[in-house]
Amino acid sequence: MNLLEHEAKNLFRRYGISTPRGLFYQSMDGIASSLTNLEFPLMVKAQTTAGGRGKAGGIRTALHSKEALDDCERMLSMRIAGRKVYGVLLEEMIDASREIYLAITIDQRSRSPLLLAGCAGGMDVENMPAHTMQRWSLDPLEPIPEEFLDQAAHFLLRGGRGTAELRSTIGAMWRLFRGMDCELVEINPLMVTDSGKAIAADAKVALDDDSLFRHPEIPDMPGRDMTELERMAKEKGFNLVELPGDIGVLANGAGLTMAALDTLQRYGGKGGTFLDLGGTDDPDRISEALGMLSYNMARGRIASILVCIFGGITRCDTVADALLHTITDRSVKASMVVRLRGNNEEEAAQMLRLANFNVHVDLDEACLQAVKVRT
Amino acid sequence: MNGRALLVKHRVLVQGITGRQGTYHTAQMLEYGTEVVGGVTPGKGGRTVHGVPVFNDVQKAVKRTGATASVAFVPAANLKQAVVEGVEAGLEAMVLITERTPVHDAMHMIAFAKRRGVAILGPNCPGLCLVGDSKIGIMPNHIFRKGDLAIISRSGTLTYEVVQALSSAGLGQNFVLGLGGDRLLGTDMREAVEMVLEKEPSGVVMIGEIGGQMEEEASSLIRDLGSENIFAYVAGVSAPPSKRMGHAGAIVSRGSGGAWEKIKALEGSGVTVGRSLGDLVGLISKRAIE
Repeated sequence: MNLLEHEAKNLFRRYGISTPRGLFYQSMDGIASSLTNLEFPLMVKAQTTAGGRGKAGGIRTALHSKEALDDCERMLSMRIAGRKVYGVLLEEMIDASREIYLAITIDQRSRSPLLLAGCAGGMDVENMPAHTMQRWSLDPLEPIPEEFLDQAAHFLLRGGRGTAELRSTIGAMWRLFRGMDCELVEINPLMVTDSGKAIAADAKVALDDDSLFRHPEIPDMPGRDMTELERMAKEKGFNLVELPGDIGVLANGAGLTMAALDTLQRYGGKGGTFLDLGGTDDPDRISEALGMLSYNMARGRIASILVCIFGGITRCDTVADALLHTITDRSVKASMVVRLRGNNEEEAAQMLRLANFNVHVDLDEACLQAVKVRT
Repeated sequence: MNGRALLVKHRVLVQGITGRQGTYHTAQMLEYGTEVVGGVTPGKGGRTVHGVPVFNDVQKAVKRTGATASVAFVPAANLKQAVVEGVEAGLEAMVLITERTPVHDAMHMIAFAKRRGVAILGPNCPGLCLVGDSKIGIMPNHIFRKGDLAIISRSGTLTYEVVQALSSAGLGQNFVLGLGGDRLLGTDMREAVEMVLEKEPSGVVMIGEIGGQMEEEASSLIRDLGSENIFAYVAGVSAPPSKRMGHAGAIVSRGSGGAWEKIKALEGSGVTVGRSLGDLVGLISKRAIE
């Protein structure tokens, strides 16, 4: 889960990383009266989880109140890359002699944290020239070695002021990374002032969804960039993703669900709803999952449904049973294709054929049918 | 490499044996012929599950039963502790079925196991099968056929699909390894390919998916070794960026981890890539006939 900038900065301050003086607003209420508490020029920043906020007009400099208010009003009503803007952050501008990039992330290959430092902060990390970046692989069982901090300070500051502040910032990032189960803690840029102060002008924090149970203080935010149905499915313990296409896929296992979507695409179809049933043999769970897809069909989001099961823990006849009890509407049945393989597949196919379901064993054939039966 | 300990027969301990999954799969493993010698559930020592004695802690269980490996069905919040206990008790290999493990716990336990030379498979994996001999994990018993292909996969159900299709086509397997769907895995694709190649299989089948760089890393190993008869399938060609497709590890992010990049890397290293599951099995059959 990606936090908004102002939320990430709240965590920064809690862990001892300096941020600019600023105020966050969800609406225009109260902005005008509180502008007197801040010193111009101000940065006005749209709060969203979407990337490319600067290019989309979501970051502006305001020289006086009128400009700030106009920017706030405009940003509060905009969407960036299709995502909602959750508010505006107004911050005092920092006068810096250096702009630095710092991040701690997780490296998949070494299964270890990675510290990244760049002396060309402020631009997209993808565009930073290689010689301006250095990285250190960290041992998850140990503190950050002092020598890494020395090397980072030397590389980033070239003997300039701010060594102690920089080391303390990296130390705080590490405590935040571990303490809040982060996937990413990124500061781009970290402003180093003439007097050597280090201030985080931007903040990016991604928390691990699977660790949120340890952080009850983080309110129910993982649903923020989800659709209503995605959120509902998550609450019920299903993995549901809404996609732009018009074919719903219910399968067991994430890999099989993806393979089914890929195969649909091969035959000119496009997945609209992805639902991974997981490893269950409970007919009520399967009915519940089918209910969510029927709901999306009823409201016109999808035009056909492909049920794609490999019978291991989930037995094919359990799925057949659930289908017989849940799918009673003729038109839904007519735009549904069932593909069953594995445990008790023959018995299940027999049950379903008797009730006029469109049943297949071959995945390609089933996908082709699911493209055809769209209503 | 530690991973080699995965490819030998073990005396197996079931961590979390009294839970629903633990109990069910203990029976399944016994039926397959696995030597399940004990189980662990704190507070439930002294019972038996399908004739297997249950202990309160791993240390005692290992001492009493001589277990050399374990399979963990414990809740995600307790997995890190379960792995630390298993490593400290002297197990050689651990198979982690548990889903939704906190990523920092995964980092910690993988580093800890590596330090002590213990092989980890998973988390969020279906386990492994030494076909015709023993099985550790949750793969269905009836899909295998004894032969000499090695299967390495990031997805559970896709493994079953492919193994069953291969078996029906008369193409048997020797080693089937389910690596897991998480971002951080105890044994990754490159490591798994390296260790199965030492066993000189007639072919290796890799089942990959979007997310991360594991398939690319395995490709460069295959290119360096000049290995032949390597087949692959990559799921997620149609997946949009920035959407997590079910598995924690299955996400295309910041322009990296896409299926086409992986397919290109694999093909560039001489791997035969099936564009669908049907294609994959067809290509393997065709090569076997030649």
